[in-house]
Amino acid sequence: MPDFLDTKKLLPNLGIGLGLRRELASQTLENRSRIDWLELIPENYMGLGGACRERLESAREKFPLVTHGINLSIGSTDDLNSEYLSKLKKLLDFTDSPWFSDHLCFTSFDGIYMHDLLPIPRSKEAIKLIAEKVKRVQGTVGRPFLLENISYYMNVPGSQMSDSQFLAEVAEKADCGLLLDVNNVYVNSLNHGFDPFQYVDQIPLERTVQIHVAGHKQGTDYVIDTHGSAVVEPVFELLRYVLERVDVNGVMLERDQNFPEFEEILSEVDHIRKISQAATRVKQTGALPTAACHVNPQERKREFPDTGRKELTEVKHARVFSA
Amino acid sequence: MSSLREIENTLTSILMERQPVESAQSLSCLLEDEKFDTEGARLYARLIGYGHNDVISSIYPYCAKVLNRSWERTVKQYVQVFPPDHFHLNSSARRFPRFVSENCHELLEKWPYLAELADYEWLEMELLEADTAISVTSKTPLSDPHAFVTLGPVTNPTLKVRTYKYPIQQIVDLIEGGKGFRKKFRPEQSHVAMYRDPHSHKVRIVDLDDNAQILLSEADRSSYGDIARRAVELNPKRDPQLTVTDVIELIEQFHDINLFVGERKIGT
Repeated sequence: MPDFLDTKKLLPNLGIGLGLRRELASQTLENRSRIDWLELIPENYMGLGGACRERLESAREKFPLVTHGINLSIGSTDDLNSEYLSKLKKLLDFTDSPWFSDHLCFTSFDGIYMHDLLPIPRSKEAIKLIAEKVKRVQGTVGRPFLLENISYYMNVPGSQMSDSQFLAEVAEKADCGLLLDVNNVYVNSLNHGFDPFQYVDQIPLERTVQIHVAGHKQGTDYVIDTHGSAVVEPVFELLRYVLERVDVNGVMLERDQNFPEFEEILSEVDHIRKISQAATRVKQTGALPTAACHVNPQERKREFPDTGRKELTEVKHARVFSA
Repeated sequence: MSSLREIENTLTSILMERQPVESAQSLSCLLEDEKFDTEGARLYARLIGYGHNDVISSIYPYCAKVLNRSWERTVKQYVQVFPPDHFHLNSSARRFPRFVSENCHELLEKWPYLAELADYEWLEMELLEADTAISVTSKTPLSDPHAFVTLGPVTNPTLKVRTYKYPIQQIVDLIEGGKGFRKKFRPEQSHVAMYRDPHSHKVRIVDLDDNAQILLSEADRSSYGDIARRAVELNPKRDPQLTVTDVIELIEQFHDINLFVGERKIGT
């Protein structure tokens, strides 16, 4: 494959998208005029028939699709799962997605799948391992691959560098793209006490192909990335900050639980579109980009939430039991 | 210095609650005076546990109702014995029926049908997701005598027939009705046909009597006439004409509900 930044130049600009979720599928598929593209969780469709297959086929007829995986487990010291890769490739060939993504984390070890996105030690050893695995994944699948920064709730022992440094080194060594989740950056900045704008400045932003925007839950001790509430203004500010500095190929809204009226979701999509258009004007006119907003990172507080987070809820969409 | 593999191994053991959180303090990658993040690890362990409980409860709602207060504990034990071993989340519930029959002797003493109930529930899940294409083709009227002897039905490719020692469908109906499942059930053989509807993608369940089960199991290699003949054999004391009329009605019904999805020429 050519250098990733050359590859990025050839990728289409998909516009503003939404996550395809079972609960919202019919309304989503009816709103092609306000939603440009859809992101789906491949584990919910790989090797599955019935209603899943029908939903996938309907979505493919109407929208450009990209996949955002959960269980590639790129950070695991286990070898890559060949069955997973083969099924993913088959799905991507069917959807003809311009790129695909997964998380910078591990979800399995020694064949055990924990079905959660677990942080990895930010070490040189991990960077080397992940870079090698990413190259094999891109080689096998034959499409550009993006890694997403996760939200995390514990300090992993064996970490030798900051989160932004780790993400930067992995992306450079693996020569892959980034899926920047601005909500995750914001949530982590609150939980772990850093400046989200500085974080963005420290990563190779030019590798960003896609951006995730989502809502979170402010608990008493922790801020949890739930994808279950409206996007807050500081997250939109971070989005604006990024979009004024880099061209990306797609921005999408993740909403996975606590669903409001669909019009409310569409309004958020519209709002993201306005921010994106305004950022494009800033870049075109050469105006000064928005300066970083000052935030006061708070001390991390502890919380044991009653509800699952984004990752759990996303995976829940695989649980299509009550057909 | 602990290797990445050692760290992941320790984290996995802790998060899957196979060893206490405190044991991570022995990791040699911890810096001097550095404390392992026990609260963070506990949070993850708890969330992973919620996830397992959610998915298994969503697939086995009847077992959950029967076990009631013992349910969460049973799920925890199941995950310890059969940890999720597949990237498909639902697949993590796949071995629950086996777990019940091999590991839950006390529960089986109280609810001897529990393993069969779990099998019933997993089968429904499996059929919902089965990657099987179902094509439905038209059917010749059975009033055509030539068709009756030269054609036979094509069964829905997702069809599974189970024979249980207990009246599982009756038990399910009682659980759904919100009553009666605490009563003792005597063993009473029952047959259940389960398949996915090609249009709604819902799983349909048909209660079969002994003879219907035999006829269905032989349907894929029989003509309509063979099925009728077999039915007469199975009901030697009944008026053959009535039996044939009933069988024709049954075949029509099976076509109507997409248990039969087409027909084929005999010998092809």
